[in-house]
Amino acid sequence: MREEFKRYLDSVGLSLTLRERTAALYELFHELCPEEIKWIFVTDYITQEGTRDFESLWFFSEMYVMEAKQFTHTDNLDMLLLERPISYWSLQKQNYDFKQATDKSRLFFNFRTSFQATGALKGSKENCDFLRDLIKDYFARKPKK
Amino acid sequence: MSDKKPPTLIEYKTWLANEHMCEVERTRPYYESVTSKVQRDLENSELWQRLTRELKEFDDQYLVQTGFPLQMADQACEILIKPFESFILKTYKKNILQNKRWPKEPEGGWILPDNWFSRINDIIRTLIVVKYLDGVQFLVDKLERFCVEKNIVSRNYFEAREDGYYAGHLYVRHTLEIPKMTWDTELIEVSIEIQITTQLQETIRRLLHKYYEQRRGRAVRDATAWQWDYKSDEFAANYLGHILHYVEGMIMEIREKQKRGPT
Repeated sequence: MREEFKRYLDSVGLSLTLRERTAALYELFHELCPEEIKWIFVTDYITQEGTRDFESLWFFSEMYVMEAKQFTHTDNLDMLLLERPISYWSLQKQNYDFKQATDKSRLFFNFRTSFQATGALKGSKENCDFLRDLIKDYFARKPKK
Repeated sequence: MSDKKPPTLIEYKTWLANEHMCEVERTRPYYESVTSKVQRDLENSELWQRLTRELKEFDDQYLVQTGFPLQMADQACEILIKPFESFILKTYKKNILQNKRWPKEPEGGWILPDNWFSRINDIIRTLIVVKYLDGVQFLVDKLERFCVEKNIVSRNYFEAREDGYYAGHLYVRHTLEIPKMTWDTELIEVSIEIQITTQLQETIRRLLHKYYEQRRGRAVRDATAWQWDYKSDEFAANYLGHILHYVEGMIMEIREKQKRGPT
């Protein structure tokens, strides 16, 4: 797995167990995806007790989007060939200026392709900055000519 | 809004999108994410641990009382999640097909993503199979008493449907924290459906599962009453359910006669 992926997982606070689980899922997608996996994201939210719960693990290559749903405890994987430009996306944010996340920052991004496939990515605290970068670098960029 | 009820599930989905800005396919991942969390949290809850422990006690109490085992051998109580398609079909029935106030909202309001986890009462269910017919009532009573002692809100209902389905249903309210669609979480009260049925009913239900699935997907029933359409699948399936219920009553009668001894 790429070093920047490992750094990302560390920075959002994944335990060693979940990092190992992530590495195993990465290896699986790496086998199945015909392209190089270049981006990673883990969706998370904060519970009422203030703890962080991780939901889905996402990987992205130039053309493919891969998701391991509820990756902490299930093996429910899917993969989508992403047509660009994506037909629709929406974004909701709270306490986030899209520059520097704070502990109160929340970001939610939803996209839909012309084949009606959808995906929802959510991040809290510093994970908002990673989601922002993913939105800018991956979803909102100009298609290559 | 049109006064005409959406006649099919596909048109219902369009109606949800147009009238309530709810795109069903967009809610699917959210539904699956929430139900998976609810399943996991419930499995780890004190309520579930206690309840599954108590089942063994109830089994022994029935054995002492009747001389027969209550449940099928050492069955593990499994928490089952309603599949998304079945769930949407249920909201279609509640919002549209069974809505007597149409085109106004049904009693209690529209069932939509912001409230549907607490409004649909069988998203989370479990099945307990007992050997004999009286075991259904026995277990419902025991579980209800368990809920009263633990200050848990519950209600029971004995299903006896026209289509030959017989089972005891107990609905237990339980508060859980679920993620919202966007961020953070909310506390909701979910209803856990505990179905209690007999071994024979469960066997026939498994055999006819495919038939029931097909029939549930039909919004409009056939015009001919199934009771007169002896060539139909419904005729055979539904009467089989009723006959088995009758046979189970007869088995109980024989068991009780044996207990009383020769007259």
